Amino acid sequence: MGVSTLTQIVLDDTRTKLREVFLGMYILILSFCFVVDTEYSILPQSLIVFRGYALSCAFFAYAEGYKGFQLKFSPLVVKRSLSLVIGSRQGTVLNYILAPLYSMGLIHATKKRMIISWSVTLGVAGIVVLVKRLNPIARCIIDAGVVVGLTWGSLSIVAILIQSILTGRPPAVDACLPETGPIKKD
Amino acid sequence: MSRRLIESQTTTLTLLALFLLVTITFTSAEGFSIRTFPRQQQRNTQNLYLFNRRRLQTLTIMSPSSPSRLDTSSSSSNNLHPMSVLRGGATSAAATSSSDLAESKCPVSKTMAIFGTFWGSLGVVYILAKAIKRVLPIALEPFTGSLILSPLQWV
Repeated sequence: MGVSTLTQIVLDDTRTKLREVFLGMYILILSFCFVVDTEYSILPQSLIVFRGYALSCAFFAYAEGYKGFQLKFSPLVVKRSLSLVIGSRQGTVLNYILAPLYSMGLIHATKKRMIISWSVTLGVAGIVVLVKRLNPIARCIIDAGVVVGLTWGSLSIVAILIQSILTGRPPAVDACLPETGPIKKD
Repeated sequence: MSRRLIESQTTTLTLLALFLLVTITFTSAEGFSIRTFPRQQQRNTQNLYLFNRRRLQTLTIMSPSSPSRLDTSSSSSNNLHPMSVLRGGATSAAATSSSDLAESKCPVSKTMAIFGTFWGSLGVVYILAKAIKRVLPIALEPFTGSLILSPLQWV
């Protein structure tokens, strides 16, 4: 049995466990919402809307928090921040000062990464403007999901950073650093 | 209120100026302290070329299946190419691979690397936290009771 097979098995196992955790969380949120709604009447209005609130939280937790942040964005941020070393090509004063932007791939990245990062940033800004124009109920439902997703993302960045420091290994993702120029091959 | 604001702004600006000063100083110090050896690199390349040439001359009489046959297309010669030498003597391959994350022996480099790592990662977390702080009151409006609407509006 090769190392890759073992890794695949571990990954599959982790995925299954994560799915179970996510399902459990979803049921917990729904149960909590139901209890709160029926017992304490925090929301005296329609249960459907309150469930929409819970669904929004669950959806953003999975789509934004887990799929977007935990699997893609957070490892990239940690990897890029770890690549910020003086003496390397990317260890410039500007990159140090704007380290958060550098880590997010907004500066000093491959063309593709920069296009993606700037598009996502501008897209989110556009969505924020649109959400502000929604009615208060829809807005609070969406914002609740956004809070859950962003909290998940922040925690995942911290967790991956701690993991990288403890294990001494950076996340196994491409840092999307720009090419250093033509290298002649003999 | 305005005095508080001015005080906080002054503190922020002072911290920023201090950070800028420290970064520039460290970067300058690092730039002066690291030896890039461009001539040495070229000499190494020349030596390697001569060494390879000599070995090739001797290897021509050897059988092709010999395990000691020199691999001229190996990346070792590419790593020594002057074009691939970057600031601080790092190679381009090293800068784009995971080896650029290797620890430096210089304490200043190490400190700045740790600082850059934390500032980069936790800066992103700070940006996200700011967004959460701004959005959280709106998200919690149904719980705080400030958003009490009629059932018709809810539906």
